[in-house]
Amino acid sequence: MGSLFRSEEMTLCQLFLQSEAAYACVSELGELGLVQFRDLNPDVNAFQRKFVNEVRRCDEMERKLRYLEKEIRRDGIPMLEIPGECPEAPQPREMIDLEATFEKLENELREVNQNAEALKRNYLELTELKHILRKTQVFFDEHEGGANTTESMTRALISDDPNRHMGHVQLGFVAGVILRERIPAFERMLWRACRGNVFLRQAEIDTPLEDPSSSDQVYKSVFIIFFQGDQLKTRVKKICEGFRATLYPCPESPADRREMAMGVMTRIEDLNTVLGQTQDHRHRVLVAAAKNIKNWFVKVRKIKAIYHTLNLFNLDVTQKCLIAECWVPALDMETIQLALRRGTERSGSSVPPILNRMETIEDPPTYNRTNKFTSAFQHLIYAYGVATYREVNPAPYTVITFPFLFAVMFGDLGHGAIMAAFGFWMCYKEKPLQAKKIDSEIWNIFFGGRYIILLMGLFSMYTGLIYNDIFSKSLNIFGSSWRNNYDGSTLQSNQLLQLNPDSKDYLQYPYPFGIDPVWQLAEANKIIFMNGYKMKISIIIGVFHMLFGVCLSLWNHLYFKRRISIYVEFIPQILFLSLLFFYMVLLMFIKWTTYGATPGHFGSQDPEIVKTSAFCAPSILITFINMMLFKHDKNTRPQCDDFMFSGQMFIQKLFVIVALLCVPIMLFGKPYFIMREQKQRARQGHQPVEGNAENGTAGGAPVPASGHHDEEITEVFIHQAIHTIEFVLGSVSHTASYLRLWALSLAHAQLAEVAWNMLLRKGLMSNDYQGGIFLYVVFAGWAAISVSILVLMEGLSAFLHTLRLHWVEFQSKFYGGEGYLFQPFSFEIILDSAGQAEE
Amino acid sequence: MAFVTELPYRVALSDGDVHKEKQTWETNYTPIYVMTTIFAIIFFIGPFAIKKGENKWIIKTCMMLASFFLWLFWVTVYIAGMNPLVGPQLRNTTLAWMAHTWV
Repeated sequence: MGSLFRSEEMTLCQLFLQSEAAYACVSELGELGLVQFRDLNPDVNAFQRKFVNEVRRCDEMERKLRYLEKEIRRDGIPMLEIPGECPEAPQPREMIDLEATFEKLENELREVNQNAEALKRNYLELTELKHILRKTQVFFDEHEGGANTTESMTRALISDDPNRHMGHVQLGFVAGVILRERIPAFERMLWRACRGNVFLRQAEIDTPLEDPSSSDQVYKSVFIIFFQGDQLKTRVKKICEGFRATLYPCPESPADRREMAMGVMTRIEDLNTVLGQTQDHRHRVLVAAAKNIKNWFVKVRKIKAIYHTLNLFNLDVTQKCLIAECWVPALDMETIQLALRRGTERSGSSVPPILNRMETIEDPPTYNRTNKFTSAFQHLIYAYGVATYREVNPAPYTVITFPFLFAVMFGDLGHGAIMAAFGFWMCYKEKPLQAKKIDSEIWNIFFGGRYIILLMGLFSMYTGLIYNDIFSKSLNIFGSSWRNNYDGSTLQSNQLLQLNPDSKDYLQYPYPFGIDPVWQLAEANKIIFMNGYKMKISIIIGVFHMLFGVCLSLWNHLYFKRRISIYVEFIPQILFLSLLFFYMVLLMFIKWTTYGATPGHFGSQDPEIVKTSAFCAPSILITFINMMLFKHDKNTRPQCDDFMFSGQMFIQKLFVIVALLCVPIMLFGKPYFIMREQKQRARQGHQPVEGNAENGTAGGAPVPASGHHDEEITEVFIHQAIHTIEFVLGSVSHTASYLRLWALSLAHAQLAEVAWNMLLRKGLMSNDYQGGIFLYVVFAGWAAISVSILVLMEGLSAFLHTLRLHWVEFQSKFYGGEGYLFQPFSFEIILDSAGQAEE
Repeated sequence: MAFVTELPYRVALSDGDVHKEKQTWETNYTPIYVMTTIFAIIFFIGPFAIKKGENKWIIKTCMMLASFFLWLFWVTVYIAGMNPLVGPQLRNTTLAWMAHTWV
């Protein structure tokens, strides 16, 4: 049955492919995505496999493509997404063409980049020279001015001798450019090394310059150093080298400088043109590449995947045929045969591939065919453990129970509506949102669970209607069942008054849908009333959920032909749970229907009526505890009965005794039968072989005989003891664990009430124009808190608790969860994961 | 908590009694029948309405599970509210408003 009820039937198949057809066939199977190949060469090194060369070539191609992609991204050119279908894996001979194309592109790009760098370096030098020529003009002017210079250092260098007026001719100088940050250290070094005999002038270059190798914008300064003599010259030059300042030849006379400046300007303009053209060329190359690059990526990845898979195959003795072993879903054999035939036709080979089943005792992988709706729920289940092969799958039931249990904890019509609207938007705009390929991981988590969120929101709206809670207010749709009968003077003299159900205050029929709206208005005992109700509903839901889980184990026992397990495991488990906890549920219903006001006889003191009034209502918890302890307390109130229905004591004793008897059956039943079976088999070992078949199946024993022979009896006992203790203790603790449904819904309701009372209520109670503005601001705060704390935080919390309830309380009743996942060879999966990895 | 000295509304007293006298005090089981029928139709008959499609089985399972749990939730609230053992404790202003608006 190809449904979600249990995982699909898998067969191990052997595939014989002709070497020429192998590539095409594997390509077809990759598109299909239904086959999981096994590694037939596990002990062969990766470098010794048959197709290692091809894989290496693919790696090279991928590297070149990544380089191209980096360059394209650097220039900010948009890469065209693949329109429509993914391209198919190209033929092996096309691979050579692809390699050649990539090689050419890469070389071209590298060349262009190198040229551009050289040109930029040149450009930088010319620009620096230009700045130097401009700035040093100022230095020399000041120098020649002489009279108005305030630099005492200049005076010191120039001889005081009036004869030597043109003293600067004897001074040597070097001019250069240095990074601004290095100037102070540079100055200090010069001062120390040359003992103050050199003179440095510097001026900042206003515009930042582009560093050719790193493409950063850096700020530099022009400097000029005056010194006397050759020794100082060498020293200065060495220091400049050390600080990586570039020195430029600067002519002394102003005329030369002007000529040089003009030359530099022309050269800069020329360089600019050349640089522009280089960049254009690069841009053109990249744009042309950008059109196809995604396409190429897909093709190269597919080729690599195919060769990786081919590496898993075995070459047979004749060297003409490749042998593969693969896991295949039994229902898909036809589709796979068709795909193989297509592949053989495409490769033009004459020999058809052979696919035949193999018998095996290995455990097959677990495969569940899900669609976009059910896959999210299936993932929730798999996160805890993959189902054992052909075990009952809890996922289809999770589709309803998960949102329902969430809603019991979340129950608010308003918040549920917000959540449902969000889920609906995501599901409605599914395709456009998917095409956008948004990067954020949080968004992807929410988007992946869009159907879960939608369902959770819808169920929360229902439970919100039943809890009668919309943003902590109640709705009065059908008319409340409570009335006020106090007169004016009573009201005036008492601040708080309580309504009595045993009077005309209560109309003796309940609000038809949900909790009466009056309870939201109640002052002190709203929480007390809701607690009593919510705790009981949590236990009721919990008991039904767990009983459902135990019933699912019956299907497992039937399928795996464990008839003994039905008698010694399933039946005792059901009895134990029902006789104790389902009985408690029944007690709750009995208490609800038996005790209360008797209409028409309000406040009566008639002993019969008192016995069924609220005065005599017993506590279910105490009743249950007394039942387990076999205690029989006399009721402290003499007017009341000791029991809720006649025969209660006898029935309770009977139930407890039967439930306790179930425990040794669970503990010793299975080991006893296994022991008996092993003795039978030991006896059969001495008997003739023909008798074997009949005796083997007579006891309904588990089928594969080879495994159980060697199982130690002590192991079986311990195993069974663990299971029994887990179940018995678990039944109590899990039942109590379902009380978290009550706890979280209480927390949610209280948080909503606090948000209302502290924020929006104060805003709504304000008056006049300033009240309007106040309300505007307060509403923003209330809305922010409602969404962030109540919807997001509480939603996340309730989600987590629901998940725990499913994983532990529900699944421990029947789930094995010891399988491994079916991971088919599928191009879709490979491309998806590759696409995510690079982002 | 506001302590009211002058009640804003006239508290209805004797008019109500005549209305209430006419009321029968039997337990009203109609809502249970109605809701159980609705959910029972979805639970028992709904699955037969799904005939085509490859997701038949899971749609049927979902319908049955959903109708059962939603019905269970509603019926528990109803039965719990049928015979309340305590009544709400309300402020006098709320009671006065109740007397005025809820007839």
